[in-house]
Amino acid sequence: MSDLIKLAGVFGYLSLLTMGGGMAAFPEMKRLTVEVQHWLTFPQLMHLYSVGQMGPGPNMMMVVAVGRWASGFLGAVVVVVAFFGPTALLALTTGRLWKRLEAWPWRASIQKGLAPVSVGLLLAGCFTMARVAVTGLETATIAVAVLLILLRFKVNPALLILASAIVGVFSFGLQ
Amino acid sequence: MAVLIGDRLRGLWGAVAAISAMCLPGGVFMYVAAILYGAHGERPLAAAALKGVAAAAVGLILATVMQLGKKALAHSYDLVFVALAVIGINRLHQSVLTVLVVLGTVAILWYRPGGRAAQAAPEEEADE
Repeated sequence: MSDLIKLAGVFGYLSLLTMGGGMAAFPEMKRLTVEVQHWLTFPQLMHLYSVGQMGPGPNMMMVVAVGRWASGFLGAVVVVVAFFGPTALLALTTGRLWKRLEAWPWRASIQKGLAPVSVGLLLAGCFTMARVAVTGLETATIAVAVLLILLRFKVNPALLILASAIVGVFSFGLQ
Repeated sequence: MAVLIGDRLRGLWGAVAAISAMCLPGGVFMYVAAILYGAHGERPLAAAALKGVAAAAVGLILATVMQLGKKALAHSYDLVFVALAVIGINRLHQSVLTVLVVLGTVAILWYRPGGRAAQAAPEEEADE
C-alpha cells in the first residue's frame, strides 16, 4: 500500500515536469525510481523506456511498466492516473486559459522563454540515457544511423527500433 | 494535444475519452512488455537486442530534439538556454524542477514584454 502512495507521489510529480516531452523528466525519473526508491535498476529503466518507443500512443506509456515493476497491476494503474492525470488537467485548464490570454503581453514571453528551456531539458534527458546506452562503437553507430535516417526520411521509428534490435542480436548476441 | 482537441470538440468528457482511447493500446503494450522483460530480459539474446534498442532510442530522441529545436528555437542565443539546461542537469546534477523554475524564469524575463530581446524577435509564431 505504501508503495502505491509513493508511486502516485513520484509519478504525479514527474508528470508536472514533462513539459516539452516526456524525455525531459527522464533524469528525474531515474533519480527517483532508481536512486531513491530502488524500484528498478537504471539499465532496466532504460530498456523499458526504449521498448516503450515501439508501442502505440504516447511514448511515455512506459511508466506503466515501471508501475507494474514496482507494485504489480495496481501499481501500473496508479502510475497511469498519477502521471497522465495532472498533465491532462493542466492541458485542459491552461488550454482554455491560454486562449483567453491571447492579448496578454507576457504570453509571448512565456512561450519564447520556455521553448529553449524545454528543448534543453529534452537534450539533457537524451544525454542521461546516452551515457549508459551508447558504450562503444557499435551502439554509437546504431544511434547515429537512426538519427540520420529519421532526419532524412519519413520512417516509422518503431521499425527502426525493431531493426536495431535485430542488429543488436547479431552484433552483441551471436559471439 | 489530444486533450485539447477532445475538449474543443466534445467538452470535458471528450477530453477524457480522447486520452483514454489514446492511452489504452500503449498501456496494454507496455504492460505485456514489462512481463516479458521481467521473465526473459536477462537472457543473452534479449540483452543483446535491448542493447541495440536502447542505442536506437538515443538516436530517436536526438532526432526529436533536433526537429523540435528547429521549430522552437528562434535565435542563436536560444542555444545558450539549451546549453545551460544541459549543464544544469548533466554536469551540476540539479533536479529538473530546479532547472525548469530557475532557467525558465530567467528565459521568460529575457523575453519580457518591451525588453530588447522581445522587440528584436521577429513575430513568427503568430498563431498555433
